[in-house]
Amino acid sequence: MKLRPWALSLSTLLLSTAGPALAQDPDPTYGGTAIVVVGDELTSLNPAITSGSGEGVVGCMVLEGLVEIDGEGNPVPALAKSWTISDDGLSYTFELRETSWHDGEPFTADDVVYAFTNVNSKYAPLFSAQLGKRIESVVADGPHAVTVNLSEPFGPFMRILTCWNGGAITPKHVFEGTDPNTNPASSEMIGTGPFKFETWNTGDSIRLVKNEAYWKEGRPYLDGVVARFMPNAASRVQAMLAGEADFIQKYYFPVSDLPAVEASPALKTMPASQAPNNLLGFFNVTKPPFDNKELRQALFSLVDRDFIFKAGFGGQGMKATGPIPKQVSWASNPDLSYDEMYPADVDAVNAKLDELGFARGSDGTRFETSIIFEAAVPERLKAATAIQAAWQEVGVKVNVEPLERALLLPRAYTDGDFGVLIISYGTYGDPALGIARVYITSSIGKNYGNASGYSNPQVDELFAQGATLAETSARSAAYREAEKIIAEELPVMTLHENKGIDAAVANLYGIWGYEGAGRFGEAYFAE
Amino acid sequence: MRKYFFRRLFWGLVTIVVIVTVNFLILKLVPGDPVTALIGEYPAPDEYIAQVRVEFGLDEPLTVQFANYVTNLVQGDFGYSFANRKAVLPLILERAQYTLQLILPGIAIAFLLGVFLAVVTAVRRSGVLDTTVSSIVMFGYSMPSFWLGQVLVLIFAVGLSWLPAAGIRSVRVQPTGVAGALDLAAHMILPLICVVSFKIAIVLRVARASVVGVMHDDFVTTARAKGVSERAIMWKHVLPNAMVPVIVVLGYNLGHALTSSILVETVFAWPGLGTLFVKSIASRDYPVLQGILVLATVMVVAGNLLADFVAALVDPRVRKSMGARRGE
Repeated sequence: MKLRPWALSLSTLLLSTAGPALAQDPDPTYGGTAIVVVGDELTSLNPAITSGSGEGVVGCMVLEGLVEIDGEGNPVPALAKSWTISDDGLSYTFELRETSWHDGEPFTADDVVYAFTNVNSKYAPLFSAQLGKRIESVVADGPHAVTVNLSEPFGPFMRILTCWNGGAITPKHVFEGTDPNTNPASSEMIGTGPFKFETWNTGDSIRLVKNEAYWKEGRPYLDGVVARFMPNAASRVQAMLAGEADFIQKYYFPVSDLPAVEASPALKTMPASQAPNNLLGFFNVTKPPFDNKELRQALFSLVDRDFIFKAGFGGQGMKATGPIPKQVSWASNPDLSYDEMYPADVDAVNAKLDELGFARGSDGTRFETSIIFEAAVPERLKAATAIQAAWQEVGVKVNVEPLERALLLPRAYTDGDFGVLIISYGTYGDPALGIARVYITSSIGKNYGNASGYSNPQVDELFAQGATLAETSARSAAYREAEKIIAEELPVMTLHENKGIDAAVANLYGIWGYEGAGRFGEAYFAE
Repeated sequence: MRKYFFRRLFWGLVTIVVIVTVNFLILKLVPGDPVTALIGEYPAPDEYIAQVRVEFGLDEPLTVQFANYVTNLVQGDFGYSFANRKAVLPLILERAQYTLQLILPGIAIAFLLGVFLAVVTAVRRSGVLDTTVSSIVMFGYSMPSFWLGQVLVLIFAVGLSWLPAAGIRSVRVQPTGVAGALDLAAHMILPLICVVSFKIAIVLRVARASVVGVMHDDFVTTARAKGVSERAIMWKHVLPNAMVPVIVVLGYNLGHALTSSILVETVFAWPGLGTLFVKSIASRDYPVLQGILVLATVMVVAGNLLADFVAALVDPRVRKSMGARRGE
């Protein structure tokens, strides 16, 4: 088997240049306990059995994946010191770090074989969906080397191996022969990460303490981390202003509290560590009226994405210009622009609707439709009302229906009972992971999949090519071609390209810069 | 009295059985799927979803699920929480302890302060003090506790930094012993104000009306004619006779203790049953919801029974009315 050493050298280079902090950050100091706000109480500390954000943020302080993803989107070493990839892109061989679990047991290749085969492939949603059928075997090559053999090349393979994306390695000696969903060890987790589990105060908080035997010398800087459960969004920034919290990740930071954070010299905002996510408006293309492409195009031209960007998201992220975020620059089509494709012109839209046979009734209404979305997320309401106002102008009556998530999901994905669904999808930094599911036929009917019911064999094929081609340039070409088609056929409106922001106390550094859960092993309080 | 007790107990048990059954059916009929909350926000493979459904017994027909639930319940097994990955009974008992830690002092303060203010305002009714106290108390009652909580946090935690904003304990440091007790007390003050502000109004209005009514009874006039001091008339004669409605209100509040502080707990991130209840609704964690509702039902039935019997002990007229039923 021929091996490609480029991955190793690239990773080594990136690791050596990736310092503990950004250039403008002050020098690290040791000590202190960071209080991290999460929303509801976590279901476990095991990010290998759920894609829940809280479980990922806190669980990935305790557990680790084989790699991390740096700010440029490249894999860098974590539990794997280095790796080589076979020329055919089917075999990945990892040299593992010699380290120990928090209970003192040695971490070995058997742990990786066990975890990938019995936990991640079965229980981690992203990992199991993307790799469950693609992994042919996981083989230990001695105590500190492991090879993963795939049935076909898969471009984003390394990206899925991060803890955040479901690649967390759980200890074989703790989980073997048990169900990780019910094993209490999923809550009192033993990992290899920079922090060790100490206590779980039910309903209140989880306390982690520094792993003094962490493999990375001199890390972590903090003595500990406390994850605090705060279900009420309005209370979180108040707690931070009162000095009772240090970090609120983007998932738990209400955009409406942005002015309060910006007004306080003791606080700051930072671009979130996670890959960008899109606010999407799925048309239900399986039934009238949105089975009509020209209608979708005409109505989308009136949607004020600039308003959604400014009023809905407080100017955070970017105005959406196409289905693949411009922030995922290697895959998005730089020449594609919604603004050029769909200039807003009310008269033209009225004429088009007349031409399509959507005549106005006696009250001026052409037809009535519904927009459904999750009630708990204010920016979705703003987007829904912006669309309602825009379409009202051309005689389309929109019923805005905020719903509880448990009610929204069956209506959106099982029953297809909506005109437009507004929802946010993470991109995971790679269209194979985050964008394809929006458009491909095989994800119709699945929660957080293809809600519009759109099916185009050519698009399916292009996304399949994008996932399985080895070279980035070839992958880009496939995605750019797919993007052109879906931007034109428009089964889904990309309403906003979001990056998301975290809120933190001003003297907290080191967390940001890589993709994923946030680097708490590098976090420190400056003097 | 004994027959009365057993009759009430019997109907209390019937109530519990009916409510357990209705709760089970209602929760199962509500749209929503607990598996989606477990899996997270990514399209999971069908095999995985099916596997989770089997693990938690959600693949069984409704009748089988109900039979399993009741069989387990009578054995003291409240089931297993999907979302918390824990047995339900220890989970809700632990969370109930935090709720009671907040609510019982709240009820006690509301009761003592409410009765005291009722006496004071009844004696000086329609005066400045009566009007002022009634207005303040009704203002507290009218304000949504959710809003009041946020305002208190803004003033006393964010603005003045006198009190903690949220939680039951400090997490940056971990005080123990006396310092730990003081820390807990500090965390209780703002949520307690929210609880008391609501409950005191109920106690005050009922107690004041009852005291005013009793003050016009003939025996009070007789006592006054016999030269008994006003203070003695109030505390020895009027108040004991006016207590029955207040005890009923107290029993009612004790019965609802577990579920009456949901909003306050949510605002202050208090780790009680209220926050668990709200989370469990969102995640459709049926076993936890059923467990909380069973516990709450038992508390309501027990609280009302307790109030009846305490009223009987306090007031001979109530005892007498129970005795009259012997001939029924």
